[in-house]
Amino acid sequence: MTLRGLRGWAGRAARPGLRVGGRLLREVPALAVSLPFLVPAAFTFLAAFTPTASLNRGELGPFTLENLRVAWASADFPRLYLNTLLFTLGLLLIQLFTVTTAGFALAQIAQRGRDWAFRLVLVQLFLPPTALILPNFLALRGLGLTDTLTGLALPYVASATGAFLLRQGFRQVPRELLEAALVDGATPWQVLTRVLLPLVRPHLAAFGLVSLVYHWNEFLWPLVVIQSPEKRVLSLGFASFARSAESGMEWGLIAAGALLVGLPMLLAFALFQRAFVESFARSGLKG
Amino acid sequence: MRPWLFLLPTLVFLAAFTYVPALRIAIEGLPALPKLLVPENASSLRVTLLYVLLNVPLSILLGLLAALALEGNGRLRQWVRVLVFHPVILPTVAFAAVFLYLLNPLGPLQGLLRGLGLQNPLGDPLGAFLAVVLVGVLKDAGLYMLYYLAGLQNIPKELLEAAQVDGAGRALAFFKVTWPLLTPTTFFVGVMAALGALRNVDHIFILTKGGPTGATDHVLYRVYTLGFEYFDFPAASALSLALLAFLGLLALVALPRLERGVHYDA
Repeated sequence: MTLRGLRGWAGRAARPGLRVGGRLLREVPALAVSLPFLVPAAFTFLAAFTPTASLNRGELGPFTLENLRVAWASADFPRLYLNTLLFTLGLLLIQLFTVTTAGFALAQIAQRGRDWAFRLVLVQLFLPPTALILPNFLALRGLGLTDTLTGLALPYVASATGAFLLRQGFRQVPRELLEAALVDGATPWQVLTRVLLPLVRPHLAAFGLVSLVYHWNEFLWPLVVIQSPEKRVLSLGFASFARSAESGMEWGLIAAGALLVGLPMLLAFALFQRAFVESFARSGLKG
Repeated sequence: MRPWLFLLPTLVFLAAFTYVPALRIAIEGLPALPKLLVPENASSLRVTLLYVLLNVPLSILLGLLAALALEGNGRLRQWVRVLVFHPVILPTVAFAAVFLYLLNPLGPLQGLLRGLGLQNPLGDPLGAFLAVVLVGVLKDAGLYMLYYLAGLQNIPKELLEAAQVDGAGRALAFFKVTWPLLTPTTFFVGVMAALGALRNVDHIFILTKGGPTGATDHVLYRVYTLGFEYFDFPAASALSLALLAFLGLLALVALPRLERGVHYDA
């Protein structure tokens, strides 16, 4: 499957000359689809800058930065951002190694063993770490790694999605290229690092971006693993903050907090929109 | 033999954090299976099944409708695509928290909610369940839209034009040409949606905490409460086993087709 069409994601502007009325009519389905997404997005944004007292009277405004200030002060955001960065980037670094080697193996293993190897890896899609929080927690406890960012990362070191994605990439490399390198006396490791790696860079980038987003947002497994407040990641910090704000019906604070938590990814998305869209499409499709 | 060596790092970690834990659940959960007959656990399994049965078709439908409505160029469609996709990159907990505000009885949607007979949706079993479904669907629909947009790209335009020349209206062309040709995408999206519905419960932690009266007590949420709040590991293991059974059923249906690459050759 190609990504041809998605390249037009940021495509051309609408044809000029069509009357505004006709154009609007043609866009009724688009507007209808937008509604359930526009409502939460718009209210989050507006509520984040409105005093809670106004919100509870059903008013928006007078606009203020007070919510953002209080939200920033009530959770240790710099620490939360830092822990989340350490966890996601550290994990990604290790994953880049494991998914590359696994993808290479899955593309190279001879016919007979290939189906088995493939099944062994793919089965992880249906036994996701989130469904195994209980035994994985017990395993971490056995290793003495609960309440650490390392422990948080371990169940994700092997990735079926990543291995699959990289296998697709490696399979597109012509066999002759590999054979030529091997005839020239290159070891499999050299073939992988010198010849193949540059060719699968888009697949690695796609996997990397999706992994970053997924783990940046992750909540349940960190909730199980992390106990110390100073080791909390962003989603955990936000949830405990939201709990106390909710009991006080501090909607403005909740919206401001949600904005602070979502902002780094939203900014990255705004800057690298096409990369995000292509990465997510690729991670589900043949690249 | 060499390539297997490259697979070793992955296999070691899969063994430690996938195969062995799954086996452990099977071994420790099996003797505790009678605990599943406790009404709360049985109800949790029912809630999960209903959640999957509602979430999957709705997210497929929304993803498909969004793709159909937003295909092609035009500034408005570009913007709406971004809007539909943006929850995918937001933490579920943050996205869900916004609905605490939107759905509160004095919130901005109170007129609409009262019209639907749900003054306080999160305080009412049916309303809370629907709210959890809604947030789950809105969170992921953008991703499914993306898969459908790519799927639509692969349908030869000549086929649709031929259908139109033959006098087929837009609806007929959709049901006779587009929809059948999207089958591989729909299958893939369905599998992803079912997986998501079984493993993503973050929004339940924020919106309802399994309540009211267990109406949103998804089995994975209950695994967490039983295991990490009540420290009843046998019961949590038994429930985990039930969850793995759901997932195994899904794998049985999906794996052979994913393996043959049905979707990937579409």
